[in-house]
Amino acid sequence: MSTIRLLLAIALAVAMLPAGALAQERGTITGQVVDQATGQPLQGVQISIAGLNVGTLTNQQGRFLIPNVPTGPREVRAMLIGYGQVSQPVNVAAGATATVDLRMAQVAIALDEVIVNAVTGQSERRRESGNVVNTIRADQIETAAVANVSQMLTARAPGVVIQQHGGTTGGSQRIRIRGSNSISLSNQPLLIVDGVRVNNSPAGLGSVGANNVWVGGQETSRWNDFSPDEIENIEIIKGPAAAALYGTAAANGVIQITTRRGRAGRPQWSAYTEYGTLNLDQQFPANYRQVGRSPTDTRVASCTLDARARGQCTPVADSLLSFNPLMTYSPFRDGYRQQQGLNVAGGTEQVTYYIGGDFEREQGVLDPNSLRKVNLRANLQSRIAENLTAAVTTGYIANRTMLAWNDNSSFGAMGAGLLGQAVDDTVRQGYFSRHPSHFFFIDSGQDVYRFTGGLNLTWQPVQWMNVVGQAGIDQANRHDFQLTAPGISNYSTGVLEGSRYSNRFTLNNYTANLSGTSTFQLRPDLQSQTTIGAAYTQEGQHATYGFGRQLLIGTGTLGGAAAGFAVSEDVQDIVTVGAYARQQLAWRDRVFVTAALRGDDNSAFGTDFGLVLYPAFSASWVVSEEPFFPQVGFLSQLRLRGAYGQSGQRPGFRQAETYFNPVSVALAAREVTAVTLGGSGNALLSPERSSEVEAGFELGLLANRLGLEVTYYNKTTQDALIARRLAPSLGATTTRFDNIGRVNNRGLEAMLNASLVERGPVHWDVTLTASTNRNRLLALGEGIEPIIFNSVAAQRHQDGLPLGAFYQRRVLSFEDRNGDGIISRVNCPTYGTTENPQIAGGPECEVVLSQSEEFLGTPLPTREIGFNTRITLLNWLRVSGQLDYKGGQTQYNYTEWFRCANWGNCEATHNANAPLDEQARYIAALMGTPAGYIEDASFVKLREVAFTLTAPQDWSRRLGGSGLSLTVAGRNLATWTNYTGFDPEVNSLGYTGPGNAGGDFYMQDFLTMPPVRYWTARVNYNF
Amino acid sequence: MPTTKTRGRAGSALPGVSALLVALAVPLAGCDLNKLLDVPDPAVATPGALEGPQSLPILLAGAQTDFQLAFSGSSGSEGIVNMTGLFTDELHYTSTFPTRVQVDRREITPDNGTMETIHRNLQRARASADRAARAYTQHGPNALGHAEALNLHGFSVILLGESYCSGVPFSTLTAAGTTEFGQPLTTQQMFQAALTSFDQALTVATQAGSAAAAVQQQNLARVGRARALLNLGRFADAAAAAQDVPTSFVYRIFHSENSARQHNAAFSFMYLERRWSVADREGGGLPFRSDNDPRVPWARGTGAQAVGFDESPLYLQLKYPNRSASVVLASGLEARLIQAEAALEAGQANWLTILNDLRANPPAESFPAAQYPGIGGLTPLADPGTQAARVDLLFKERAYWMYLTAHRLGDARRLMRQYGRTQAQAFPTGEWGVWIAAKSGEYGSDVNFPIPLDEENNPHFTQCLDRDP
Repeated sequence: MSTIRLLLAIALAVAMLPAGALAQERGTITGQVVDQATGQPLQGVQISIAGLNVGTLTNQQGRFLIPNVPTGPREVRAMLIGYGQVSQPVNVAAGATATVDLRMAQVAIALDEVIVNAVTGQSERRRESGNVVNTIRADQIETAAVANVSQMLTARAPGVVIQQHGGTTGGSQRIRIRGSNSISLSNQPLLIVDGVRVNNSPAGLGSVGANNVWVGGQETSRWNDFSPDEIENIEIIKGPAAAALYGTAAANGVIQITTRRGRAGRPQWSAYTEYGTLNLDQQFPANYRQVGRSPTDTRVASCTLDARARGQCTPVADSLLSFNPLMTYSPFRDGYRQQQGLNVAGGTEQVTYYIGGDFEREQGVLDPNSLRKVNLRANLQSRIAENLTAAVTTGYIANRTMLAWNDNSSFGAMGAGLLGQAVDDTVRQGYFSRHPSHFFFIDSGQDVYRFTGGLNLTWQPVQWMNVVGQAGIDQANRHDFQLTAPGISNYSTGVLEGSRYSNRFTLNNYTANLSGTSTFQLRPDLQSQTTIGAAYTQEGQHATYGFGRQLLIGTGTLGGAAAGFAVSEDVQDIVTVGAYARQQLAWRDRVFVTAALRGDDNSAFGTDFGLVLYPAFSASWVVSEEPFFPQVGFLSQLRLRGAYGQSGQRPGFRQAETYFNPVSVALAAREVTAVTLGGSGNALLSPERSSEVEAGFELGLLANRLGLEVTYYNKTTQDALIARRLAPSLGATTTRFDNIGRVNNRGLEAMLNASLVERGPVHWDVTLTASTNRNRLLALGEGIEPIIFNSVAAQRHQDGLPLGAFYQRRVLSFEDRNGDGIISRVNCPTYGTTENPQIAGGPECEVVLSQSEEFLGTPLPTREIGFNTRITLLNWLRVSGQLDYKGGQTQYNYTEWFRCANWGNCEATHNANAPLDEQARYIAALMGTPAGYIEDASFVKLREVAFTLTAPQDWSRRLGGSGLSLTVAGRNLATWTNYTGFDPEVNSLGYTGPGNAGGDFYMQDFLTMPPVRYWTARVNYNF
Repeated sequence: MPTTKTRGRAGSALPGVSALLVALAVPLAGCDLNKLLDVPDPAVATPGALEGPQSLPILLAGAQTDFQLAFSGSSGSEGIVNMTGLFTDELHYTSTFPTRVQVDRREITPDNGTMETIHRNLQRARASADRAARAYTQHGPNALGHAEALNLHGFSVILLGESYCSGVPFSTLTAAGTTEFGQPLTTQQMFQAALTSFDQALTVATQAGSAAAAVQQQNLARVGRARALLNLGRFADAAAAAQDVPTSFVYRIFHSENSARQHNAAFSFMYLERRWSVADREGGGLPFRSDNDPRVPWARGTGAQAVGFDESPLYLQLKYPNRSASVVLASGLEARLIQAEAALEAGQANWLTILNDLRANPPAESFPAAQYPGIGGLTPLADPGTQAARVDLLFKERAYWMYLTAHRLGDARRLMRQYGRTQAQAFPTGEWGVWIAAKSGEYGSDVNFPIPLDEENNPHFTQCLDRDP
């Protein structure tokens, strides 16, 4: 703690160096900002006075007013996302009003876009930052084509990878920025909404854990609570080089959501309504079986090709059976989606507001999967005094998600069908035990009532100083429940007698920041900006779990249960306290050098570990503004930048502690309190520390109609926290966390923005994003055996390989040597511990495996390309689309492995006409390797297409409004891939996360429903 | 270009700046930040809370609960009772999980996740008993709980020795959090280690007096000693160890409806999950069903238990008919069986007498007539005439008397190790999965469980020293 005080003192001293301007006489500046091309007023433009911490936003008429400006020559700057900065000198006289009108032009590279640091609350222009920060503007996205935040992020920023887990409405996604840093902790980025750190847990309903409600694989996510319609923009801070000030949380990058704000002017209302359909367009394979006779002429019900090759049976003629229950008696339905919303924004120069509400309902394609959500938002900004502004942001979410059983569950439609019968029958209709609709009555759901609120105060006690205070809360009351009503099905005793889970959670995140920034001119061409501050965050999860069974018919709560009561409670709180200092020097507004330092302490650190310090340095140079820069026609802008920084990730709750869980033990008729070891702690546990170097440039070409942004990054996580698997002979827990690993990610990112056509009423804009990622586990720790996980030991963390590498014996070759049309393993050698059948005089071995296990692939993409385009014609038709390519990743087609090698009902097990490669991977699986089912999962997807028709202005006016449009949008429209399963990016193990053997690197397609196709129509009406 | 002019540094502005920045810093610098970081954790117990004599009963209860989980499981995890039954001819698998299929087929890979849990639970039971025993050594060496902790430690080690290949290490996680890795122990060394524990337990229990509770622990130690000696092939010593144990003695591992952790896994996984079934002549094994022996009560499932998870017919054991059914760990009956075996091995005629005495007077403590109808009507056995047939008969008696009590695997291994039987004579062999069309394949060649791959994090360990019986 004393170190934090010391840091504060140092920061204090540094900050005192610049002491600047004194009070003087004042005047006012006013004016209007318009689009250079159209002449239309621009609202929301940030107006500032160079060298002073004063500014405002333009209203709906593009007008602004800045009172209380010190007299003298000033420079007025105007900045707006997507536009080039403009500035104009003005002389401010005492008591007078100076007028400045500005015209802004759209540019591909906007160096003067403002980005906000959520920790300090201070904003800076992009040109000042040595890092790349990508901004996704909501007004550039057809909201009809995206249903949630994850879809907003998909394929729109280089280095940001979103993997859909399946086609479940309300399901979660895997989100990664610049690869995966951590072996055993979460790799999800930090999520901040309006400066408030919010819960970003991927775990929820569906996650595995003691007393958790489970539905086979899919789970919900807190990411998608927020509605795209309430979002103004999303900023993506990629990694430690940019996120050092965010401290012990930001190693995986930061995603900052800014919700919509009001603008000064009359109230502007906006209403929209949307309706659409969801459907599953998927061909499923049939189930197979062949009847045979044994050598002793007894009936063999399942005479597989392998058994035939081994002489164990002979197929009975014409007895090959096949049936496809999923295609014949489909359990899927057409889902639908609807959304309605209304919002108003407006205000005065003193107070602006945004108030909006949104209702969303989506019915998934498999009963009872559905989502019902209400989002309410009220944001208020006020200039309380000339030097004091306040912003209050509030959001409320009420959400009910119902999930269907699927994935690793016999209640699931996919499992019941794909593991079903090879014949139709009246009772089961070819399904495994029952038609899936038999289990639709089981209600598994989650209610969330969530409030996110923030207060931001900006005080300018003197012209050269800003003090920002932020406080925020994100509180979610979550109820996970599962009701199996009694007496409906006699599938099993548990289903018959009925049961009820009712788990209630209070999830809290508290944020408090206080920072001061002073700005002054050291020399006429050299500006200094110093920031010091302190931050506090608290993350809490308080949970009560309840379970009961043997429900009274007609009841549906724990009160109706008669037996099996189980209740437990858990309280988890983690506190981070940090202090930071940042110093920036700006030379002639084109060279910027910044140094920063943050120190953190955290309640989850080991008791023997103290403070962690995260330094950062960055430099930015707008070369094209140098006098020596050649004035070449096609080259309009060039900026070079580089940065180094560190950030961290804390251990989880209790991971540093040795502790015992209370349990009960029965001794004859008595229940006795007992303990069992819950955690094998590590008092030295410290945060993971990720260091990153990034360097890049931005290039503006052809009068800034084409912008190219290129970045190289190289980050290494030291002291990586590894859930080190303990030798069972210790008699301890399965894992213990140690700071022993080292992980590296490096790659290139590029983004190309281009206005390909700008001719009169025709506009064609294109954005191309691309990135690569090379992920390697540099060291797992001395003496640590590879961490092996996933079914059939398919994946592992091992030195020198990507994290979660697929690693198995490879299928080197196969050949039907005896020409019988069947691939067999007869007379194949022993591989590892798997002996193969040896038959004297039998055929030669037809499948050759590698002698040792080999690297087969990585679960995460190593390259990705996003292509977004928008064409506007005649101001009434807009067409947009998105192509998403992910490459280099591997998928585990465990569905087919399970059907063939474990269940024996796939085509390759029975049908001699099955393709030889299908037979070969099945036989290889019997020989001990699932390698044939570990497949390249590269794909190109047509994610989005949208058509927007804008009604002529007079149509809108006749309706009393100012704008009317209709958008028809489709999502998940086509996939091109060599993957032989249903979809290359699904994951049945979406629920696995930090603390499990494989961390969150599990990748498995196991009876998982693929993404569904959406078609929606949306009407927007402004008035 | 910025044109703001600066009026120089410091000067009159500095005091105001100082005041401002101090105001910023004071809220943090002035308060006790340690208090901010001190978050409560009321849901668990720290090691410090479990020190001193008052914690001994809690630590002993900890050893008991960990042993229960490892031995006869819970509704979330099978115990060694399930797994040895599945591995041998007591049970067959009626579900789909590949890791359990490996066990049923006797071809278990060291990376089998289910078996990793089984092994870890057994090692946790051993370590937990050891932790309790150490605490008793420090704070109550003569307390009867000390004897029970040592007994549970001994049985944990016996089950490891009977179930796993040669080469299981016993390591220690110290109170300070450091690791002390053990060397791989041979099967014989494990039984010797168990014997040492039982010897110590018997000493403590004997010193504790002659109250019923003390006698209970004495008999538990005696049966444990006899079982260890039997595994070591010291038949006469085993018989001597067992002779003072009354036939009525029984020590149970209790289960309860109270929590999922306390449910009987043999019930839960069979009745509720429908994943296990009573086997019959599995791979040439014993006719547990078709003999209709009252000691192995079973019934064809009906209604919700009509078929297994794999849709094959489900045969329910009736020995553990509910979640709270207890499982016998050691009994006077076992003591008699050990004496009978020792007599047979020594060529003494009374081996059959002992067996027939049990059949004529089945101990009601272990086999209440209400649960085992027909138990009183077991007909006397006839001497089959040959030594091999006598051994078969004795082991069949053991199998029926001690069905689903984690004895069958140890017996199968002893048949090979001590009586020279082949694998095919001791374990299921041939075509696997005959109970349902969808399953096919052959039994493997494992005669014991491999040690899970995770043990390779022990620097002294590579893999099994051998896979011999």
